[in-house]
Amino acid sequence: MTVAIVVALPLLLAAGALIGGRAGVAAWGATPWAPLALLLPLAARESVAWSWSLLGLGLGVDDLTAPFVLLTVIAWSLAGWFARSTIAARERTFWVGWSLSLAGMTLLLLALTLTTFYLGYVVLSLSAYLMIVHARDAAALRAGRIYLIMALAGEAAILSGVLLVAGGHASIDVALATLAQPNPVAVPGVATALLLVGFAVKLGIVPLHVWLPLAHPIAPVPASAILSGVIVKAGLLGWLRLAPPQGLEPSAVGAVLLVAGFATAFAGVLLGLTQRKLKTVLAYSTVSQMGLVLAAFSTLYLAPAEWPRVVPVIGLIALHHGLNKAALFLACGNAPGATRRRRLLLALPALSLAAAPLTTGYLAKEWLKRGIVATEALAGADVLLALTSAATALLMWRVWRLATGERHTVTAAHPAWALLTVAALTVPWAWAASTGLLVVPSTTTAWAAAWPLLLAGGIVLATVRLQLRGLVLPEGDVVVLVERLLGGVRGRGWRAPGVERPRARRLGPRPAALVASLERRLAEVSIAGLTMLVVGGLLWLALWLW
Amino acid sequence: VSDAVVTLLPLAVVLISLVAGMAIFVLGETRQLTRTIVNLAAAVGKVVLVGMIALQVLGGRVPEFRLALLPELDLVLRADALSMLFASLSAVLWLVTTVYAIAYLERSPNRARFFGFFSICVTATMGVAMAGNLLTFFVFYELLTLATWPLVAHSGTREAMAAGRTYLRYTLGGSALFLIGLIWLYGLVGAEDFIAGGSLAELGVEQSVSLQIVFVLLLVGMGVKAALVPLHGWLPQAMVAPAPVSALLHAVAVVKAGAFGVVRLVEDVYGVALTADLGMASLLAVLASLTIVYGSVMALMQTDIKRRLAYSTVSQVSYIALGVAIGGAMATAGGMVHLVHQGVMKITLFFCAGIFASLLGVKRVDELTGIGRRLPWTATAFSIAALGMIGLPPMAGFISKWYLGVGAVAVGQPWVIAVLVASTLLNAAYFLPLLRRMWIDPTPTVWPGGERASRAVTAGLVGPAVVTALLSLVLGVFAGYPLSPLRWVVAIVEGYMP
Repeated sequence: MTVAIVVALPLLLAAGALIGGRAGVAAWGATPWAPLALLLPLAARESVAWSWSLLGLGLGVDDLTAPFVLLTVIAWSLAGWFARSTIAARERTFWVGWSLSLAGMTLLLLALTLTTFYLGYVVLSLSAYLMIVHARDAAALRAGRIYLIMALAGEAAILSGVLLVAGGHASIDVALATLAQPNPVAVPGVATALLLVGFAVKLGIVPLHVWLPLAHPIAPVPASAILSGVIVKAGLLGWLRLAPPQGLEPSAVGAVLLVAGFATAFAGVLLGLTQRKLKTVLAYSTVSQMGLVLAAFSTLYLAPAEWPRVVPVIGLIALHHGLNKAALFLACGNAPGATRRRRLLLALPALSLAAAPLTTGYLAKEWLKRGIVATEALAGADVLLALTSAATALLMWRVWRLATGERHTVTAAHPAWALLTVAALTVPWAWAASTGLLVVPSTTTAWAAAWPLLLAGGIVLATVRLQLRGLVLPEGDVVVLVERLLGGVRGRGWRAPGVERPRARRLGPRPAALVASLERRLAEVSIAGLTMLVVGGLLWLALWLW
Repeated sequence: VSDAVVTLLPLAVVLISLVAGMAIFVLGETRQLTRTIVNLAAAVGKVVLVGMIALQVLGGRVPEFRLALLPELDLVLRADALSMLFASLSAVLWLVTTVYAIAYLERSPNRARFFGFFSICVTATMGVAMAGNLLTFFVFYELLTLATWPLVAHSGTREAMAAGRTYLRYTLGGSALFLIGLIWLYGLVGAEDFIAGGSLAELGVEQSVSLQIVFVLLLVGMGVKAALVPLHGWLPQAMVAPAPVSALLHAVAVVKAGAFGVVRLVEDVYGVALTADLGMASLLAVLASLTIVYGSVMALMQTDIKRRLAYSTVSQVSYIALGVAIGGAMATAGGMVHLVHQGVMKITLFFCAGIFASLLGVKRVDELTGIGRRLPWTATAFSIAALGMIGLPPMAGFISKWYLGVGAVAVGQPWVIAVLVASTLLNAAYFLPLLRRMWIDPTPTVWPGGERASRAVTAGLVGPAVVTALLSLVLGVFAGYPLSPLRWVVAIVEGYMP
């Protein structure tokens, strides 16, 4: 029953928002609080199987998803409250996108079977587009287009992967990995590889990150908060649920994932330091942090037996990053540099991301370090991890400078921001306490967390002293190159596929003209018959020889 | 219900629209109200009759009407489970299309001729659905060819007449080959009824070359209507027909009759095992895959909405052939259920294209800009159907695609995934930009044209589109419900592959 409510509620709100009028206003008013309904199945822990719907829906909350559900409840509802107060234009489309994204997120959070997860993932990916293009200007439409192209590329990999999983099992639907059972069905290695790559797009793992620094910042502030705080975690959940270590050589793949994770962590920071917009810097910080999440995920491959102990740690890291990043994005909409108290609210989650002692980031980093060091896959991993903290600290310094340097028209700060910041600082600790993941701070660990910050401080002082000028890169970095290249290859008059132009001009480039003339010829009956005979004959011959 | 009545049910369901068609011809052009009543009464009556037969079939009976044409040559109308799948699709969508067509052609000339042939067309489709052997199938298949020509050429413009001529050349050419194949086959085995698993198995080895040639001849006959590349040329041209005709052509009647024929040919004439042994399953699978990708690529290049939809049909209908060609329970079910799913989604798209053209004069994709705010219900219906065509859950198209993909991997043919993924991406590439135009881009101040329509006419146009859009959603969301097309098809396939 609770599951039915949770699934139906966002869909009803989306329908209300779509219909508009009085129903629309009522739906907008209620939408911010819809995520709270997720507390019901989180507490009840019941599961349902609806065989009548689609290919059979299986829904429920288990120990693997619980931290993700908690993150969604807190971040999505508080961001929704902020959105309710700030979204003034094109409300209908925005709230339809918001509610449908929540519906998708709910489905994939609660999914216990493959098709249910896939359903939620697809709904989420497509609906997020409506929030990304909210501004409707050229930049937003470009970000939306690049987002969709990348999302569909990921979708292609994921679809191939899930079809291979279900088909390999000769059954329409299969169960997903849980905390107790990481490998409920045998999965071919190709499928695992495809799923790893497909979900990496959502997480913004370098070099699949190009859409993220464009799309996350261009959305309205509350949408950025859930995109960067919550929705990226859908990719992580996809990895945990669908791509557990299986079918591939685990240690080799684990090593690759670990290296890719560290590479993403550092690349995200380096690219982020070249940015001039506050929200873009935060988006690159998400890329960097997801690199750390990948590093954490790689330990599952490096030590598959540790699954039941590592998965809750990954959940904790996701909860920590999601809340803090959402709080930082909400800060962007509240003139964070305007008063001393606001600067404090900005600084605390920023320090937390940099893993300063006693913050939730310290808790997450400590577990991450223990996990990676225990696998002994990479010498000096603890130093590398400390350096990622230093790098993040530098990036947060950039955030601080941009936030305090802005000229603000000071308006009242929204309570949702303060609440979310408080939640970000406390909830991960409480969650750790309730799941037995508490770390008792000691002077050694505190020093290990503190020296990277001091290092970052030193670097900052040095650059200020030497008055070094930073490099400035376009948002989305290499995507700009790709766009240029594609533009050059296609020549004049060509844009992304499916972008329509009048017929006469479309026929310019050669391949298109060739296909068009082939089509014209085929339209002549005699040639069609001849081709049929030739094609059929060739196939026949091929079969004969074979 | 007595046995005699049950025997006559398949005949009645075919004849009801023939009678209505004759009545409409006799009534003439001017008696509009009577014609509308006859039209709707026949369409509703057909749905009721199909419902009655469905109850019989559910009860385990197979109503059959048999008429001896010549010694050894029977005209057989029989309602098995597969017939009912196609018949109920046709009956339901016909009712919806009739409402739409009445609203669409409200003030145009030659309505008596139009609705008369419209009814004969449904007679033929029902005959194709109910045909119990290849000869009966051929008779109604040809009736369908001829009854559709006046509908394609309805407007009488030079373009329409040219499209009509192309249509006839293709289909009659295909029919000639079909007939040769039919006679050849009857020479080999005599007149056999359609039977699950086919009737040619014992003939398999010694006559394999003849059987291969006959298969190809019959496949060309079916393939012309099913628009298998390279036999698809007529379909994009035929989109000059009025919107209700296009809707019907692509979703229920002509194209579907071809695809249904392919299913019958593989499942009930040759049988899956023999088709595979003769190497014909591979031939069909490759042709279907080629068609799926080629149709989508061509659709991407079209700027006319209806042409884009036409190429989309070329691509999507081949899912059906692909499913039966792959074989195995799940892939076959995926292909067969697409018979229904593609029909519901594509008819919605054509209804919407017709509404855009007739109310606002919008015919090209770039003119769709901002139409979501002007015609929200129609645009919503279009969006649901388009997302379904891409194969996204929870729409009906996803169910077909999932069964096809999983079934293909299950029988060891994972290459099919590449085709499905390519098709998904291409469909997204030619549908998603339309949705962005409709909903995200700003609304223009003037529309290209169109005429003012009364509220009743608008309701008669938009209502059917909304109903079929809802169906494409419901058939997906409730696919697991016991009476859904999916469950029905799974039961049929269990009959073929226990």
